[in-house]
Amino acid sequence: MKIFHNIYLAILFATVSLSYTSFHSQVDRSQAPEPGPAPLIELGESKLLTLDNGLILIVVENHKQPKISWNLSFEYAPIFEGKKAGMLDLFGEMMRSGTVNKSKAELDEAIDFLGASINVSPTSIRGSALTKHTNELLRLMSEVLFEPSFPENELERLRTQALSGLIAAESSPSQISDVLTRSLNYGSIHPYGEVTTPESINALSREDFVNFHGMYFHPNIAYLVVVGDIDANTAYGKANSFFGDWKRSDDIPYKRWEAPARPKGNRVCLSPVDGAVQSVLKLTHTISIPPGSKDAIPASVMNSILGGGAFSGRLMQNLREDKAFTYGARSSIYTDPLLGSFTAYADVRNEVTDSAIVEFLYEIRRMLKEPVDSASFAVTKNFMTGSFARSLESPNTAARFALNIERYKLPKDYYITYLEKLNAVTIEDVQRVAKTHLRPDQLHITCVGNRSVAKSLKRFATNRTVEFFDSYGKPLIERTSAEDGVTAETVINGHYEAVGGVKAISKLSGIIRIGSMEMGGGMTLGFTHTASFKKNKRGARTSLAISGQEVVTNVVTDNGGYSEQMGPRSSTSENELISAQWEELDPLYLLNAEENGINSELIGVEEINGSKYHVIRFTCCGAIDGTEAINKTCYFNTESKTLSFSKSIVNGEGGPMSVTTNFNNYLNLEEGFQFPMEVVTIVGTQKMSLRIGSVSVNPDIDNSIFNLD
Amino acid sequence: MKYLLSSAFVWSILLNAFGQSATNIDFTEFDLKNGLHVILHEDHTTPIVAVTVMYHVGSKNEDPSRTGMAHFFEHLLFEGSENIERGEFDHYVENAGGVLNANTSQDRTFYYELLPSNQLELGLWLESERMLHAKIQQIGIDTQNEVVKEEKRQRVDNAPYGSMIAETMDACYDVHPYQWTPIGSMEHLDASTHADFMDFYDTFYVPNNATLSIAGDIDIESAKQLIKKYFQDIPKGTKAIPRPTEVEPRRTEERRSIVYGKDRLPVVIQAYPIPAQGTPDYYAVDMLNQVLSGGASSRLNKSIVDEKQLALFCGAFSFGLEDPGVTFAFAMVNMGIEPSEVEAAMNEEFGKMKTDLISDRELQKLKNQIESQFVSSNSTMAGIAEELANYHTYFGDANLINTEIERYLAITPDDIKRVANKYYDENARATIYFLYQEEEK
Repeated sequence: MKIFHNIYLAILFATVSLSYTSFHSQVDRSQAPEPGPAPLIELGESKLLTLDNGLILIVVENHKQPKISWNLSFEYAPIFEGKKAGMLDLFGEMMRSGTVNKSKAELDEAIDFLGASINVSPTSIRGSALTKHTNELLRLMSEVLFEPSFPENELERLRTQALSGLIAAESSPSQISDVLTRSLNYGSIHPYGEVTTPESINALSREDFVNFHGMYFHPNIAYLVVVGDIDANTAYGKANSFFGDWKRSDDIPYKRWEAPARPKGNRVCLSPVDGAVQSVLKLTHTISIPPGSKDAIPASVMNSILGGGAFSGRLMQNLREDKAFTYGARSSIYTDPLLGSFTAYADVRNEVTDSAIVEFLYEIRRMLKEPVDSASFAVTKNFMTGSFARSLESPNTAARFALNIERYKLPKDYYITYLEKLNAVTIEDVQRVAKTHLRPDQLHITCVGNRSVAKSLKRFATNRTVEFFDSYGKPLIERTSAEDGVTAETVINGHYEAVGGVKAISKLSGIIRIGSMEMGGGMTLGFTHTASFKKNKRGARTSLAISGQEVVTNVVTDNGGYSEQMGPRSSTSENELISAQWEELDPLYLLNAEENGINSELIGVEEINGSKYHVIRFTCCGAIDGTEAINKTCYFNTESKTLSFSKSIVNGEGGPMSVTTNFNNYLNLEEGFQFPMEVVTIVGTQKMSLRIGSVSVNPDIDNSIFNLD
Repeated sequence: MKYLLSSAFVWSILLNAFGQSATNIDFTEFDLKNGLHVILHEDHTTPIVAVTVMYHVGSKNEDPSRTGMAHFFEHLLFEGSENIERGEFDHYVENAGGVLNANTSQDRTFYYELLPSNQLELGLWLESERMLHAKIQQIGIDTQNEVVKEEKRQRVDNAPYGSMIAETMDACYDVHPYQWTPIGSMEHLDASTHADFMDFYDTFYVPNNATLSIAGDIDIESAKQLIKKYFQDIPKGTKAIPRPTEVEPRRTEERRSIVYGKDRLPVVIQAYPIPAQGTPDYYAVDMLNQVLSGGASSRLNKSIVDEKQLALFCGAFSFGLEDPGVTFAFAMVNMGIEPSEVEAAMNEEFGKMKTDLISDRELQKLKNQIESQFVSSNSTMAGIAEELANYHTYFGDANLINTEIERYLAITPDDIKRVANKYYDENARATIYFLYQEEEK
């Protein structure tokens, strides 16, 4: 493939059309001079070649300086690290910390001696050196790529540094703000939202690095981008001799991630920093504009008018030049194939934090409400045209364009026609994309700064509450320790006594509950749950039916389980089974957690919306993929003693999900037992309400319904 | 800086020290009658042009009771002129598809526009307006006063280790104006009057104190005509341009201090006085620092960060200034490690530089690194225009852009050992520990 194109910019540079009268010998300073004829803009040339093992080579030839950069980059789906969060942060340095034949010191010396550089990240290996050192550089790069040794002692060094770095970050407002906005936008159980902690750094082992390298560093998901003093044929020859024997892999994991929900209204989230003299403000929400999609260019025009690169952006003009609240106010749209984000931001002095938010909201809402004025619109387009032209000064730009076309599957002429597409954007387009993508009523309004500003920010929250977060983006919960004598056991006992008595419940042989399950979208299904607690005959079956026809069936027994959803059965996974057997086959499961190998811990008392709860966390067994089989936090009302709600993290198809279950309306049935007649489960954006119509206690149960065959 | 683009301050100093280029940079230079020095570099690779003006004024030219004036003034000079309405300066440039900014150091103030090459004349008009008759109004003074205070809060008060440079410079200088930094004192800014500003403008913002440096897609002859058109009638300055004459006396006893703050990891800084940039010993110290901290295999990194694992980061950097400057040796201490232990390990490395010559292999590595940095630098029009202006302003020799590398390559292992003994002198240094102290709530 070859990209070579000239673009005439007559329409684009001939924009300052202020009148300028004929030349006087006396200089007329009263008017800006007219521009000369529009210059010709050339997109650099790039060549694209593919090696037999699938490695795609992109070459941009440029002989201005006698040097060449070699950038090997990998393209794979985002990775959720879970308990090992931070492995990817350390990966690059770890891989660059020694090979089978060289210690870190020897490798450093070899690279520095050439005056070269080799940097590694989880998605790339970048090398650069003078042309005359090309072979030595590629030899070292391939040594790092193929034979990294991941030394244990270097891991310990990096661990110490990472732990020190985390401590340093605790007092860095900008780093805290970054963590806070990521974890709010994406949630802590999403690849983009998870947060590295001292615990997760301490959990890292050498094998994590070895496995990651073996899993992902393969040529069939890699691009080798070569820029500099070399032609495509020579580059191809070098690539073939150094990377030609590299083995492809057909087992590179791919995982699809569900988009996390946006908040229902505006949330105000504050992370306090002692002694802060400024508030680091960010107003942000997720946005779905993949690179190259129809709205990408109109959205970048829209963002540029609001607060993009230009100094004449509205946020900069309003918050800095007019109000003098800040040194700089801007906005950004981060486009991402999975899920991007919109952020408007500024650092402002404490006293004007609330006034600054007022202006931010005003400017964001104005983008939706009014068509932009033609002057701002024209300046922005001219500015963006100029930015594009200026970006071509670097030969890396042509390489980046070619790489993006491949990575994001863009049309081959995407960048050749970029300026035409930019020029075609209309004022109506700008308002349309603002309306489509901006959500001024579903924002995370985040502030990293002095606690004293909190009071003035309440009014911006839909629920009139300021939520507090620590420097790791975790909610700062006002949690007190439980009263003396209260333990996990007394709280759980209290719950069972309140719903019928431990002794009576232990004698239950089984129950049947019948009701209806209301799904989203007005769909209601019949619900039947049958459980037998008889020794050696334990089993539970849950079914959902439409007009008597079962559409979902779940069965769990001591010997295994399955689920069936209008199709073939699938066996219950090991992780799910651990939790299902615990919860469904034993009516006193909370009390008997320990004997099932599940850890329970009373973590204190929390006050939520005026009610107090004893909080107990149940955890169990780190499973194969690093996530826990059980991670469940139960909230027991201190007045009624009963279990009011629980929060669990479970592994779904799209990665870990947070599940909240509310147990409402406990009703005393004739047998003396109390059951929650309404159970509301919230998974992500989905809500399911179960209403129980009848409960039979100790019924006759035909055990054949639990058959696994 | 008018607005913040990057704060990788220490690194940029190191990179600037090697501001060179592989291929020869051709340029033309001349003076206008009013004393304005002009440098032109022609390169048609990309249709852009960098129009820059360097004024030879920085914080060291300030009245000690008006610190921060040079930087504040830089902000004010975006406010407009007789022919440019307030706020229109940015607008003209951005509407032409360009970018603009400025920054102020101890020694100079630098303004630039990066424009499509057919807008060269616009850049010249704007810069000549700024030089000839900038308009300084109370509304601009009031607004920029607040903006500069926010800049200081963002970059100094609220930034991790933000006071480090200011504390160190204060400890190093008692008489020379390098004792304060360009951001200056907010009280001084509040006390400044309109008359102070006009006096500063008339004294320093004159063609005979400025260098107009242009690089990019230009035709030299027609550029010359345009430059004359816009700049030749600007009157030469009539006031004497004050330059500091204070000479900082050499210390004979180490100065040690502790600064408490809210940053969690301790930082150790040693600052050693060094000669002014451009002197032979300055280059030798720069080479010495390259041995200590140039790359992962450098001595401080290998010993203190990798082997002993005492610090997250450890390095030594020359702060090259027009008058005698300082070199910083710097370590961010790993948690649980005593700063004194790191300091002792740093001193051990400095000790070796004083007693032993660097090896032949180390010398070759040094030369390879310098050659590589030389080749990689000056790859942008903006960078070339600025470097040409720097070399002219400080040394009166813009051609150093092509030849300064020879000064580095002339340094011998003996020179490095000699300057280690001469300048890494513990009695002359200031040592500061930055330690964490929890705030009272």
